[in-house]
Amino acid sequence: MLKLIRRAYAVFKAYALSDLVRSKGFVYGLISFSIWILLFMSPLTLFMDPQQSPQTIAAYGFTAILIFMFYGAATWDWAAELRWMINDGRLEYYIASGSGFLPHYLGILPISLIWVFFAMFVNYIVLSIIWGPPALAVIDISMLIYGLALLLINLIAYALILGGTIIASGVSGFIMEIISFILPVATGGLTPLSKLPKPLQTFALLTPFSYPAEIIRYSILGWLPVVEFPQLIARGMLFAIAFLAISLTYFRYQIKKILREGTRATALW
Amino acid sequence: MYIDKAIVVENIVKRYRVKKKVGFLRSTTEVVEALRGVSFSVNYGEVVGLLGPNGAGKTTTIKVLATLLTPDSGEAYVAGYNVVKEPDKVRKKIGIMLSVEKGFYGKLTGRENLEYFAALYGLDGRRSRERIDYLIKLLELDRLGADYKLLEEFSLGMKARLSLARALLSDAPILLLDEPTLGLDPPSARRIRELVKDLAHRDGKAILYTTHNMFEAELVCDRILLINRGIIVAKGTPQELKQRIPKLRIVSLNVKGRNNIGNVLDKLNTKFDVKADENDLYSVRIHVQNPEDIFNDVVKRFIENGFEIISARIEEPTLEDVFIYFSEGQ
Amino acid sequence: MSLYPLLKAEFKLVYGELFRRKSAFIAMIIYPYLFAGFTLFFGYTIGSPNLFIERVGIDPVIFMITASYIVMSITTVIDDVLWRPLSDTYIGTIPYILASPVNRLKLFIAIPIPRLLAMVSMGFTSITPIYALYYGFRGAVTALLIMALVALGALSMVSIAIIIAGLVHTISESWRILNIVRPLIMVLLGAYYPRIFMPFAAYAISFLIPSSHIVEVIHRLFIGSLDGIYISLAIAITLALLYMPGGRKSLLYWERRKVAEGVKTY
Repeated sequence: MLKLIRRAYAVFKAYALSDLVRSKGFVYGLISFSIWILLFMSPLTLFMDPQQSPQTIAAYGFTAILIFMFYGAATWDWAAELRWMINDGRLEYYIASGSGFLPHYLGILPISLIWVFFAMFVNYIVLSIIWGPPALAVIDISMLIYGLALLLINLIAYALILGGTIIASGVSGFIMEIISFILPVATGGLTPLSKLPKPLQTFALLTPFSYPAEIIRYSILGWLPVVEFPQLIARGMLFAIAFLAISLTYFRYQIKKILREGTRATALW
Repeated sequence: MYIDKAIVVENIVKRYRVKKKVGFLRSTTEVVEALRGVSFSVNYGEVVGLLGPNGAGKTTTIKVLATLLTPDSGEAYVAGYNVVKEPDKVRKKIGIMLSVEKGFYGKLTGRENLEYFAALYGLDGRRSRERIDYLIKLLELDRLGADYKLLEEFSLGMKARLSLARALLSDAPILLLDEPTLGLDPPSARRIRELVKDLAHRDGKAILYTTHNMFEAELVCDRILLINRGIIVAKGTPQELKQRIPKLRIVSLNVKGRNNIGNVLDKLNTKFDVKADENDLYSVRIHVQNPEDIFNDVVKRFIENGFEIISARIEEPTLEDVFIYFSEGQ
Repeated sequence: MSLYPLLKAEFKLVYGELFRRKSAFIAMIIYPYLFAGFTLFFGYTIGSPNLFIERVGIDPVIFMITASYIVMSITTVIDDVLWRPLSDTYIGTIPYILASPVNRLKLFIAIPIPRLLAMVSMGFTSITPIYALYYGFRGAVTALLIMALVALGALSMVSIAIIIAGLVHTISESWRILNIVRPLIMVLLGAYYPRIFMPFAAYAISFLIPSSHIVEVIHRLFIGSLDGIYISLAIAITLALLYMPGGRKSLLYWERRKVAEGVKTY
């Protein structure tokens, strides 16, 4: 256990120094992110009813972007990290070292969360400029924590599936971008399920992602979920555990596959 | 200026400023002198080797001559043109070969890559096609599938050949080749070396060839410049360089016989070493300034004294000996 | 050295890569729908299309698919010109390009043309079917006109993109700056959020971007107004030509800085 923590800390220190402290990229990334929010959010004002409270819209935007950022972290920080390892020629060393991927990911997880935190800070400021300070209030802290925990489990499972697919079949960056765009939308991650058409609602409830999203939206915005709370909590946990179990099995299978067949070459994008 | 000489370098100095971390957030700037007053020339029709270890300044020198790096002081002329003041004219006179591993577009075939670079070098349609056909044949790339294989499928040897083909696209009179056989298998490396020699001796090109491989330098180069820590420590033909070091050469013999070997060796007026084993085999190393003077005599003496000569040769100092001798002097 | 052989070479390079990397090709077809769909989905969720039509004067589906097409086409030019020095550095071809006698300005003018042609042609798969669905044959003809305008708008960006490239690539980790420049230009083009709604400062900066005038022409066509479109076209072309000498100077500046530092040769 101590060894694991030490290894994870070494990874955390390396990435924190290179990506957060020494690299200007952190600041530039936040600036870029704020411009992208402006690009996507400003056309939405053209649809808005002037009578609608802009702060409510801002709060909705805030929550949607929060969930989108988490999906982004799972895709681009966790799953894509494997892609970078292949491109840099590091993956084989990881496998041959016997330490596995767990220390590495335990190390980069805090980095992702720090980045999401700062990104949401910037998000808050940009939305305040466009619409006004988002009307956020923590209605139920325990549900918020539960929702975030469920989201984390689901995203780890998603990253394992995407990452496993990448190392065994070299998924292109473009496919990853498509997935990271469509997945949160199609699974009710970004929009309250009550606002989705019925078929899409049904589909979203068959995926694990919609449950944490509904719980988070309820606990920050007060929007009632489409499913009763006991069901929401129980089904959310069941889905998350099943998803994680499947993804771990899948990832192990892909590792065995590359030990037999070798890693796939990937392009830069 | 210097129209009759292909390359003239006069006292080139280049310093790099390198940031060095001294604490968590603090850093200092260190000045690294990559070139400390390098001077040499290269004539048409010869291969001049720039020989030195990693970090000696070989690639920096090539970059200056290829107009890819501005020196801090000194002058360099390629085909009579100043590399700093007249870079466009220099670029029309050079072909370059840098890293073998990188430098091509992965999703294009070998031929398509050459067509792209031919356009950059100003070759028009027909001339470009003819030249590419010729080079692909010369470097045996047709046999290796350069016409249909994508670059990302090329082996290192194929990339090296394609890289040389690119350097020859514009048929420039001056070639700058930076470690062209690095990482290649022996047959590919040998082919490149043979081509390089032909290009100089048969086609009259001036070739500056950098390498850290002493053995290769001796095979390919007409003249060698030894470079270490940014300065030229010695220059000359391989033979001239070897003769400049005071190291004694060695007559080395393996002989077999039961007679007293002292009868032969005691008459020698020079230093020698003898190693014997149980099977009446002796390994004899005679240290002498001019081994050619005594070689035949020594062999004759051993035979007269009843010994069988298993092998006999003269050991020369190597370029490595030369390099170590001159670099330790710095 | 004429532009023609460079164009030919760039066409071979880009199309060789485009058709051999299918994901890049598919991306070109899908992205306009993806961005438009994303915005429409959220817009319909939080508001109403009728309010959009009241404000902007055109159906949001038409507006958004056109906006996506405009942005994709124009950013093709920006991306190709701005990112090419970086990708050449990564691949290792930059020393060979800088050590060659090629005319730098002509090369950079040639660089975006092949992908731009491919992207503009994607109008046949993006805006043309939607326009034909909404407006019939007239819609299809309008789509062709818009494709021509978008091509003009994209070409008008070449000179300013070269200026930016020459200045930005002298900074280390220039790709981080490009990650700011790119979305900023996308915002200031006024394709997704029309210029007339922008605050004055943003409008003033947008005015300096040649293709933002072409975008305004397209928006005026949407609402059936032909007022001032020739002036807007003239401004776009004039700006593009005015920026050209700056582009040349910018490239020279970049090259001199690169050579002074030393071009990476691996």
